[in-house]
Amino acid sequence: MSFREWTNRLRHLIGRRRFDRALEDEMRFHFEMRLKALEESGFSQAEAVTQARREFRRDALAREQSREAWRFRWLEDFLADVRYSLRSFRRTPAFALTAVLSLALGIGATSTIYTAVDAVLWKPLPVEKPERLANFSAVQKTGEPSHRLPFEFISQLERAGIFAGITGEGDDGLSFSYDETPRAERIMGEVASPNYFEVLGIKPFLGQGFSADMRSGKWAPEAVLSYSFWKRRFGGDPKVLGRTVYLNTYPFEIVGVSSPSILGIERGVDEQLCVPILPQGREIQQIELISGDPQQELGPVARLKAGSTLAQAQGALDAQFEEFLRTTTDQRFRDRVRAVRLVPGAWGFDDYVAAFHTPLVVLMILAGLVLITACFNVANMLLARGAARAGEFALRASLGAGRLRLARQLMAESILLSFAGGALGLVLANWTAGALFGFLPQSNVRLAIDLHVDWRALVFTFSIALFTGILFGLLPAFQATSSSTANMLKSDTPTSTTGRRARFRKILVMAQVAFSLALLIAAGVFVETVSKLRPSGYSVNPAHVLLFTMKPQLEIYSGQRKLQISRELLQRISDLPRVASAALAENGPLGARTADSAIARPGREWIDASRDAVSPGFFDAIGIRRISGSDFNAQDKLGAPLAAIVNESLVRLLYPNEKPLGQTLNIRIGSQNQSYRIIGVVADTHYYDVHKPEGPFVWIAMWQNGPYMPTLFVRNKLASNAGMVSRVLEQFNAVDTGFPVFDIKTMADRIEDSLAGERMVANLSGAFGIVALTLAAVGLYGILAYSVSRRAREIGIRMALGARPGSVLWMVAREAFALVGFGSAAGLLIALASFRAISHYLQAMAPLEPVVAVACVLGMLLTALCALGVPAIRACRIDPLRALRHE
Amino acid sequence: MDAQTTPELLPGTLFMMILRSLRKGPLHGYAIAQRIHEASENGLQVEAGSLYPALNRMLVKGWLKAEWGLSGNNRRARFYSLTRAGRRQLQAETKQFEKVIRAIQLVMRTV
Repeated sequence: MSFREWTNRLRHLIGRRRFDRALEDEMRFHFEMRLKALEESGFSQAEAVTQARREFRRDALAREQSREAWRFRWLEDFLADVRYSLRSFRRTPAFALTAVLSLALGIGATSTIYTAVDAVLWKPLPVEKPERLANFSAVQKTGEPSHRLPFEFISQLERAGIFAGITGEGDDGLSFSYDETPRAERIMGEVASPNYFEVLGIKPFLGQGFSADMRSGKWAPEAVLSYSFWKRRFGGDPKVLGRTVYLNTYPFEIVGVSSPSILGIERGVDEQLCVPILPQGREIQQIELISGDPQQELGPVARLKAGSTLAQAQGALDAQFEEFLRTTTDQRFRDRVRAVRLVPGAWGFDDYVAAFHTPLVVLMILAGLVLITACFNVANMLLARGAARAGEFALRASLGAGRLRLARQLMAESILLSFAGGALGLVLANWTAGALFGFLPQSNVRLAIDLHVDWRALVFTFSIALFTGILFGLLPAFQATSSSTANMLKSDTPTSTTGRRARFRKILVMAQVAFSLALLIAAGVFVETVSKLRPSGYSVNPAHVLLFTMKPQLEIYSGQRKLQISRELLQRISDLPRVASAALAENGPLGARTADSAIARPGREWIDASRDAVSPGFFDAIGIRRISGSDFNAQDKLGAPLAAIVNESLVRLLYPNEKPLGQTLNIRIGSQNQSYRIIGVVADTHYYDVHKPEGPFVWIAMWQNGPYMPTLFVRNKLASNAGMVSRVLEQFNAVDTGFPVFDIKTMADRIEDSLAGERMVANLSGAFGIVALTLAAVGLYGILAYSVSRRAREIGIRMALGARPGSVLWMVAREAFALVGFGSAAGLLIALASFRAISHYLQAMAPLEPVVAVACVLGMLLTALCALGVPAIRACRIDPLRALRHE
Repeated sequence: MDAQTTPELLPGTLFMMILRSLRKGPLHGYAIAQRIHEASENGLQVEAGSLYPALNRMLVKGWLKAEWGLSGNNRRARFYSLTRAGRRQLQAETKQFEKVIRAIQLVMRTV
């Protein structure tokens, strides 16, 4: 059917009545003309009428055939089916509502997770033709490949012209000041080649990206704000262009605001502004990030030339790589990189969100299970409904409706249900997706994900809806139309068909019980995992420790000044009332940053150890137990002998049978290699990673090392932190306002953030488990209520013969417990099998404790009892007389 | 008088003849039947029973369009005319038809 034919038929469908009238008129006209012609050619009037009538004997058929020419058969039938379904749903609103709600929960869960996974991982960047972008993968001689290349190499590739365009991007924290705000703010700034917006094809919201002058090589301090930063910090003021902001005290002019849809090519991060990188060889003393250092590494993105493929571009790139190795002075790159590969670049860089990959995939699987349970539930309800409607179908069949026609009617009903469920699920998804990202840890890097339900989510949701509609509708449609008409017309005496149908429904309910139990157990294990991972080794309540991270930019604060600030700050804050202790650590436990070093006993082999720099009193402030020796003190300062504190793991590894105190330890930091004396030993904790047992760890003295971006830990004497934050910030302001203080939270918050992925999985799978349990309860209730009503006569006879309510109750309960028992056994097996599969992918998952499994089975039994209640009471209240008379 | 029986139409030729009769301009249904009747020197008579289904099928395909107008004797009638697609269709069908007829004639003469 051509497109024109389609639209013609559709138009006809709308104006059908008018068409019939027109055809009628037209044919009458023809008849009359013919009559006149016959009369004119000599027929008598009567003869003419007879002749014309004979010629028009196929009149009705012609009309029917003309109409047929326009018919849109399947669409018309479909609309009729839909109308009929809507009518039948109106008659049984409780059924329709339960089915739609079940599906909405299942589809909503799947859709929520899909939206999240899509936003975090799968959706291409919202730039022009993202499929034409390429990223680079520098294959290392050892270790993971990197997506970064030296600025020098990117410039060479740009000059070589093997791409339609290539641009480089990097990011880092900056101190931002604007207007009268006293304290500098911390922002994440992006540095990019001047052609950044052009190559990516991003249309800025205001302005035009970097100026034309800049793109032609004349560098100027220009800044393009991100849309969300502009909204938040500048109140969406359109007159912002041309104003000056200060980055690390250096003035930049605002030339644009980026498009609302793009947060940057680093997935999941809201880079608050973008500034142009300096030409090679130039630098600004205040901002290291934008210096044109030829060896600075940037993440390059290239746009392929029209018609050229990744493989073709790879050939040209290989030649350029050889050339670069020959000419560069970058010895480090030459030693490290084996080859540079082009990879599809439609998705940007995922460094910040890669950690969410596994949790989201696990959640996707669990959501799929919820959807399956919902499908079982609706299939079950449809089967019951099919049984109840057997008479209706028999009547229609005897009136000539084909089996296919009836099956199609049932399919229309199930698809209608699933679409209604899908629409409601979408509303649900839109609602819950935001809550999902309440779990995102916000620390020194601001994570932001665009969770708008877009056309991709729409397509996904309605495909799932259609698919499930067909899936759960197929079987009831088949069952309802499979028995013979004669059989169905004979009242509703139980026949072999209804018996088969009931058996099938029982299998569905058991499957439902099995899947929801498996989900519950999964939820139990994930909750257990989180509570196992939450570190317990700290001897103080982490909710009473407040954290303030500060960043005196190294470009504008000398090492001397930073030391001075830190000392003064600690002094002032320790003197505040209600402060139990205050200390600084460079990274501190469970933050976003970590450090490590090679260490060795003199003359022995080097090993890797974690490292941090702390001020005196740090271990006591956050409650890490000191085992032996002493803490750092004020004497451990620049020029004094270097001191180190180690943990028990390191002692076990390096000094299994010796006293560690007083020993000499070589520690390599950067290119420096110095000897430290061990002055103390502390207990093992999960300092940097909650997922792994602690390895060897060394702490060095902050006063001997110099702070870079330290965090201040303030332990409150009282239970309430109220007012403490503002009092501490006052002290910061009294000391210096030129650096940002950010990421203000309690140690307890930081611990929760470090478990974000696990908490997300635990909470959501818990929610999924409860949803699945509810669905199973609905399913159980349905089958039990049906069974009681079907056996009403039998129960009535039993009671008339003297059966006690207790034995009737037992009769009903036995059925319920058999269903739950078999279902639970299957569920346990599913849980065990999938547990094996999953534990490969999730590190640090708690083992499947029998306690958890038993608790979940008990929960399932309790749910079954709830579902049993109403049908059981109804069974006991059956009046034998009425039950018998009913027949 | 008119022939009581008309020879069977070659299958598929009705569309072609309707298209052809509309080549010079719009006609209503009765006039189309007349035109074919006259042009065939009274050899063919298209009955309303096959004319209107054919016209409607061609409307759906987009070869014809229909408009209400006044007939010669001042009565409301529905006039059919060719669309661009209809003209193309006429050309194609004519060409195809001539080819077939020539082939049939060749067979009938030589064998």
